[in-house]
Amino acid sequence: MLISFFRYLQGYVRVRLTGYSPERFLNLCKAHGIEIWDLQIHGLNYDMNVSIRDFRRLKPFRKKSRARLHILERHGLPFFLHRYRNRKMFPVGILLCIAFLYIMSLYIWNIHIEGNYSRTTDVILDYLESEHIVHGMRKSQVDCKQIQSMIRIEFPDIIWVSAEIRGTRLLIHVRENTDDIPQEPQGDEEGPRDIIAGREGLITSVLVRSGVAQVQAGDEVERGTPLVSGRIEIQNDAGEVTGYQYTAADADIYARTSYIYYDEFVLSHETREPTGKKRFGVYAKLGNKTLSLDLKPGYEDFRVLHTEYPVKITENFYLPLVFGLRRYEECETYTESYSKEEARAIAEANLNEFLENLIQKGVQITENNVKIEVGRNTCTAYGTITAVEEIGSFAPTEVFEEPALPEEEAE
Amino acid sequence: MSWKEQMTDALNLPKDLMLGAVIMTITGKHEAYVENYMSLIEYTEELIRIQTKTCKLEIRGTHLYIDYYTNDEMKITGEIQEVKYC
Repeated sequence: MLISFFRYLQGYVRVRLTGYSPERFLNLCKAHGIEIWDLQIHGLNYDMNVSIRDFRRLKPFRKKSRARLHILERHGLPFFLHRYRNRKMFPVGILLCIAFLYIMSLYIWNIHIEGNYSRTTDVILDYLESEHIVHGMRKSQVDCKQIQSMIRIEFPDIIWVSAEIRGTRLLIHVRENTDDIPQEPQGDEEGPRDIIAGREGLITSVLVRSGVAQVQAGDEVERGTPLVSGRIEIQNDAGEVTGYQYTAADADIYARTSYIYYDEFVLSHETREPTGKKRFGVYAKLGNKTLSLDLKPGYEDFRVLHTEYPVKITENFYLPLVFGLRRYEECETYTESYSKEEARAIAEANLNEFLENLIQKGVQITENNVKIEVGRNTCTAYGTITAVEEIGSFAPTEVFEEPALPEEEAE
Repeated sequence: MSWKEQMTDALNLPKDLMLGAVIMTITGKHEAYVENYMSLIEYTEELIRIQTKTCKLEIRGTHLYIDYYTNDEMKITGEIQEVKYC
């Protein structure tokens, strides 16, 4: 097997020997160390294999033994190469293809992020891009450990990251903390603070955790009225103020407040409806340049819908090429007015949206006295909404000078 | 037995080197290896005659082929019917 492979590499010919004394020829070959194999007789013809190099040395023996040689077949790599010498570009193409594949395999072509729920893939990819981890970068420049620690530092809610390179893909697995993250308390600055009323209202309940309450349930307060003071007076036995202690006031103070709601709109309005006539156009965008293939539609009034299809080669690798589709729709504008029921429904929807906003802020609605009236030209909704809500808001405490004490008492 | 043969026997030397004896290895009926020969005298499909240092060797058979023929060794395939020293 190995011998036949080397013979193929070297190249050999099958020759036919005819003449007076083939044996003499064979003995001459043997004596000069020329290897002959697969010797066969067909009548008076002796067929044998000789390597190319040895065949060139045969001439003197041929003359001596008066033998004649004909080449029957040519085998081996040298003949193969000679036969296909005009197709040099073919192996060059194969080599180029291999080189191309190899060079392409040196780059990252796909960044795949898995396991993220609240942090979208785009957010993580944007962050990675700002740290120069991008599609098309050299694989050798990717430091997986560094990526892991970078992501962990940037996104505190990601508690576990694994980055690995598989082929030409950069796989990033993340695990997010699904437990609620304790929210940092607002306004938790060190230092004294008061609580003042953020709205006017009637206090319904007071719960003070730290500080001195200035109001009690049943009091009416204006906006800005101090509710809880962060300054605690220190009194001596005689009831005189000897000093102050400061604290960050903390309290839950609920009050009944009222909101005035007013909403008015005109019944007649303009609507713009498509007539159903459409026209399409396509365009391609390469970087900042746009190539359009569409005609201006002959419509007087129309709206345009653009749908863009960015070209990407892997799941997240977008090329700067975008194909787009433009849809022109002819529109007509005409004036119409709402019917009573329509107007009432719109007014109710507006009111509900307003209430919904309040409830989301933590306001409890206790009474709703809004009336909706539909007139000839306008629809009006007005009234008051009574609610119970937390009205405290923080303000820094005014720091007083320590009261001067009589000297003998100080001693 | 000549003195040379006796000495080779006594000293346990290889006979092919000392006496120029031919070595034939025949495997079954179809394969023969010949070593320590001088030249080919005649080669046809039915008869191969080989000159060795001490004698001539005749191999008779049918479809005799020489697989390879080098300075030290030759391999003969085919159907061997008769091997004769003369």
